[in-house]
Amino acid sequence: MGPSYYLAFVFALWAVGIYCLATKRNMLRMIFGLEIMINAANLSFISLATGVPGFVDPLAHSIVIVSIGLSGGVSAVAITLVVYAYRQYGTLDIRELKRLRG
Amino acid sequence: MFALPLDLLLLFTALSPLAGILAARMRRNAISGVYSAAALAAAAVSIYPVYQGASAGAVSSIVNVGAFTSYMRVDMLAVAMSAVFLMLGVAAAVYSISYMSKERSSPLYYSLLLSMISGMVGVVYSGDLFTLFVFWEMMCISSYVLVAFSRGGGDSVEAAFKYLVMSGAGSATILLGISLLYGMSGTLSFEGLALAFGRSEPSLWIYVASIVSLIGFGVKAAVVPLHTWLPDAHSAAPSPISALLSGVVIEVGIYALCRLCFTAFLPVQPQWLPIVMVLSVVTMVVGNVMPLLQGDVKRLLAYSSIGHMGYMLAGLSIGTQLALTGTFLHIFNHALMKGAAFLCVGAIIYRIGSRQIGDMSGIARRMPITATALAISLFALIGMPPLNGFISELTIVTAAFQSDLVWLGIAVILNSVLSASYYLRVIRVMLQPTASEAVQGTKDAPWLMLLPICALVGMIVIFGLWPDPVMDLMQRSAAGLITLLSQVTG
Amino acid sequence: MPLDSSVVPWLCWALPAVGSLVPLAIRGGSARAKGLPVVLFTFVSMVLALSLLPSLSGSGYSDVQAFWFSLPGGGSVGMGMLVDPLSVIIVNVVAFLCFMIMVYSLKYIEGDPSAGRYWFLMSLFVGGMLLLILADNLILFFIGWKLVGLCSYGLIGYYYRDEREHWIGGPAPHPFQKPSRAGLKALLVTTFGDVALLASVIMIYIYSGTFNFMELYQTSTAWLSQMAQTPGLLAVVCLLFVAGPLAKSAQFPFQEWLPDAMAGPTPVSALIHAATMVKAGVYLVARILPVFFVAYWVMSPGLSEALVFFYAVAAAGAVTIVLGATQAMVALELKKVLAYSTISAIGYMMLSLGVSGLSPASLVEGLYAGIYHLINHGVYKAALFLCAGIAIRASGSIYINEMGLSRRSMRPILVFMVIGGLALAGAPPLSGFWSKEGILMSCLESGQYLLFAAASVSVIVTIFSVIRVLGIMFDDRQHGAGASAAASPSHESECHGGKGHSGGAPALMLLPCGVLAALTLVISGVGPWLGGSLKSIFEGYLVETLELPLASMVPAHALSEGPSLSLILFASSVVMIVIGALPAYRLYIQHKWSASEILARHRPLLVIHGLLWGRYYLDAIANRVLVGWTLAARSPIAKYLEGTMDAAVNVGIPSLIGAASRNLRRIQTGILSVNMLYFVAIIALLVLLSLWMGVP
Repeated sequence: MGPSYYLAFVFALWAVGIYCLATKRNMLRMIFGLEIMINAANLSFISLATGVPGFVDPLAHSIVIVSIGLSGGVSAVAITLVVYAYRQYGTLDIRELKRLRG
Repeated sequence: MFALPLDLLLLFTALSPLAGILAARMRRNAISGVYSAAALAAAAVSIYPVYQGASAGAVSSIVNVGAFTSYMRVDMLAVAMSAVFLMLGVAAAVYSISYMSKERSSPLYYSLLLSMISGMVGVVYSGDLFTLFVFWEMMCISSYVLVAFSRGGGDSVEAAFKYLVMSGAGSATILLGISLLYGMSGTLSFEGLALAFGRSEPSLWIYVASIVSLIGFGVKAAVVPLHTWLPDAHSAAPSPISALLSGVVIEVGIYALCRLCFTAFLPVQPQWLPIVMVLSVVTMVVGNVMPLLQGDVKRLLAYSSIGHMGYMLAGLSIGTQLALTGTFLHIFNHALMKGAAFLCVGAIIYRIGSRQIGDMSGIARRMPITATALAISLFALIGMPPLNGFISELTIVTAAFQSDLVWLGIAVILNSVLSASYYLRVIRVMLQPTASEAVQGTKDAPWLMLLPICALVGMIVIFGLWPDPVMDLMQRSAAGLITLLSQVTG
Repeated sequence: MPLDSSVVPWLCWALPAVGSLVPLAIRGGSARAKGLPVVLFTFVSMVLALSLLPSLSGSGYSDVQAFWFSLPGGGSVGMGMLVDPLSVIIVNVVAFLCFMIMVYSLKYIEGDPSAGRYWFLMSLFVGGMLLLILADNLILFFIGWKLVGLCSYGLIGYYYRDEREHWIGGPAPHPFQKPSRAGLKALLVTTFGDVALLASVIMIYIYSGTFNFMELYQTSTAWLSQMAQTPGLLAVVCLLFVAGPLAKSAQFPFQEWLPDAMAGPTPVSALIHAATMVKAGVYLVARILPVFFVAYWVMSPGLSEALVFFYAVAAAGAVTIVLGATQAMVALELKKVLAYSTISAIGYMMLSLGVSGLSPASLVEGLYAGIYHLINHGVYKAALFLCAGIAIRASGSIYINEMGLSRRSMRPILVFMVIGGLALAGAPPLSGFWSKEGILMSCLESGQYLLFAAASVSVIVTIFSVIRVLGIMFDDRQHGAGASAAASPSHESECHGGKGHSGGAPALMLLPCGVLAALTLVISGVGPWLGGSLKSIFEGYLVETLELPLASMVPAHALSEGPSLSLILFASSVVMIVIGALPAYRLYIQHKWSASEILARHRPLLVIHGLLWGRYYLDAIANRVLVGWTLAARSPIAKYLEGTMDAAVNVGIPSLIGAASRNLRRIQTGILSVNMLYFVAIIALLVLLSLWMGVP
């Protein structure tokens, strides 16, 4: 399988993430969607790391490792915010959080 | 390790919890504030040797940490941008000492402030896209928490979550774009990208990468319709953070787009720039029409930031050296103007406890210094000569006319006329003879708040009357950016 | 203290300009405490100006550029100080006179509750004036130009509360003028000129691409020939350009503001409306003159439209000489007499500069004579005004026929005023004579005999009015202001009697008068030598620095017939002066004849007197046309024009944009899912856009 298949999968994964963000009401599910999007990018790095046959570029892998760490940080902050939002609004439905508009 | 200012910032950020512990022990939150202000000031001073280095030629340094190699490249643009960030950072930190003094957890706030500014400086000093991304995330994560860091809760959590989701999606998209560029060229350093793509024929994937990156960085740069997080986050955040977000953080998005435009996207420029141009006009129109009927003064300023991002994008989309000079000059001036405006508004909110414009009536008599400073910064935002906003908008408009994009220049002019209508509304309310209930009995802001405000307003006036030092700096930055490819190839 | 020579011109104007804030900052101090720092700053300015004098000996100029305003798109405005003979000479005159008048003001303004304002405006004025002289480009020049205009407005209307004692005009049956109105008038009239000047400067910039005086000159052939391709444009530019100096220097047809400006305090009249600001116009003409000279005489083919500049200046000057000199004959207010003679004297300078461009032979002669007259006039007119201030204080009246000053007790003032007055009239061998000779000579050399006639006949009138004023003022037959008031009950002298205290003037006020009068005498003594050295300085400047090929253009015979011509001129001047002086002497010193009887007997003379008293009715006509018609246009404009525009602009557009805003605000739904839909939408949009733009 060439990298183009992987890339198609990457974009599909990215689209899944966006779809998730746009349609899901549960804030936790939205965080999952975010993770999916980040993982799509990670997958893209991995799949493109073998540009030269027989050689795997360690740069891509190190990037992916760092990126996973960063996404963990983002998730942690996001989950903290979800907890606070739940305390204040009493719901996890994102569409109930609409005080800021106009 | 990295460049000197960045090293100092990272060191100070890492040590900031110690200041926090000290502050908690002594029950004096001001200690953290003074610490962070001093740290930022020290970093700002340390820019000077870097500036001297950059005058001679871009300073590059390679840092090896195991398998991961990071690469720093400090050219004139990076120096100029970092100077802007640190300047506003110092002002916001000094301001926060007074503003956040009642906040119990303010040591955490200062750590986050330091790390956000370190992240921004790191972004502009990065020589390759992945280092850029790492610092980008450092900036973003700090800012998510800072937006939520407001008294009164409620709005701020909602705003922070929306900001996080949109910005997170943007970051993921950026990473995707970076991976595509990596896949095509096998390198991520700007010089390498310029070499790999600079003179090549455009392929399909470079188009895809350019669109993906435009969307990713566009979220941060508040390109309409990706701007929806901005009015929420900027109005809900504490005022000094609003000043930083509006004044410098969103400009980092513009910076990244400018960098990419003249390295990786060189082959697609003929198609890419018109798209940016269309988006810039949409952005400035939306950014200037939305706040017309706005009752919340911080939301009003936040929307006007979108309008100003439109001007900067317009400068980028023209793509000549003069236009980029205008863009960078506007980044500098917008940091001063919007920073000063948000700080003034913060001082007023601090005193009267309301964000509604209607509650500010008659504030000019009660808080004369703050109101004067706010009026000056709003006039500068309109683009009124002889204040600094005029110079940069004039530069962008002139560049548009020189490139035969008369309609774009006229669009910028009409938009700044339009913007006058809501800025002047604020000034009119402030000047009303009858004081509202909230205003009665208030006095002017504490001097620690007035100090940074007056410094920023002073610079607004000075750089309006005498823009040449900055103009010269930004001209060299723009020249350095545009000629990056020829610098690499020699 | 060794000062870097490049800093001197900057400090010279910046000190008083910035120092103007000091009197405002001093709270509660006496008027003198507020004034002393200003006097100090002016003194330092004078010393700095003096230190520029050595540069006169060397040829060339220095243009100290401090910083640049680069306009986006390539153009740039250098901000610099131009030090060349012209600016050095005038800056010295101005700085010296300013210092003298400031010293005088210390006493004059004493006890005034709003002295802080006075000192602020005076100091700012000095800064602006020095700035406009030293500026090396038209922008900086214009800043100084407007600054002095604004300060002049503030100082003319200094008594803005319009107390009865500060009114001018009259006496009683005739209308009075209030200071605040006089200030406004001065501002409005000069602004007409300023706007025209600015328009012309912008037009020049469009063609030349520079505001710098020296660059304008050096590139003049290029941009002038471009400009000449549009017929008539250069003439329009010349006329507009000339309007600025003419308005500032109170020349025809803008002369009417200056007499009214006498409503200000006397030192203000001395400083601004005699010695310095009104000379700014002369300075500007002298500064730009070489450019238009090149346009006609050096360029080939010469641009005949450039002559418009010189003809306009010369004609305005000649007309003003006659207007001013004749009106001075009948005026009763002491300061107005001096104001009319100022107008007339500046007319001489303008005439001189104007004719200097009408022939290559008269260029050096005209330029030097104009500047020489400027120097002389500044010194003696300042002396006269300062003496007038003392006389008005001593007598308590602004009218010469009510003063009745004693020749014995006011002897110093009498002596100073005689010296100044005779110098003003151009009586040999006083200073005014030497410069006036030069001006008349340049008229002759350029072959403008009509202008020459106007200028030389005015000498008769001038000497007449000088003797008249002095004779009436120091009329020993009545003693003191009270006596004169009793003698002419129709004059309401009590309204001017508020501060009348006759007797000796304070030393602090007498000293500057004495110094200026003595300086007049000194200049008189070295007159020909000073004139000669000025002439050689300007000749060197024009020929060597500006590289005008004068030597090849001036026919040799024009120079050779110099001595005999000057002898004839000398003789004719003396004759003119005698013709003017004799009747005046009989009338006002010996009292052998009575002016009122002569007027009563000769009806034509009475008509002329009425015409002169009514200021040729120019003021009334201008008032009727410009002010009256403007006021009459108010209601139709408000009704038809403004009503329509209001409906369209102030109601239509805002409601339109308001509706747009209201609708657009709906896109900010506040729902995150919708925001993410925008995310999808922009991807679709960008893909479509790229496809539409032909991306593969």
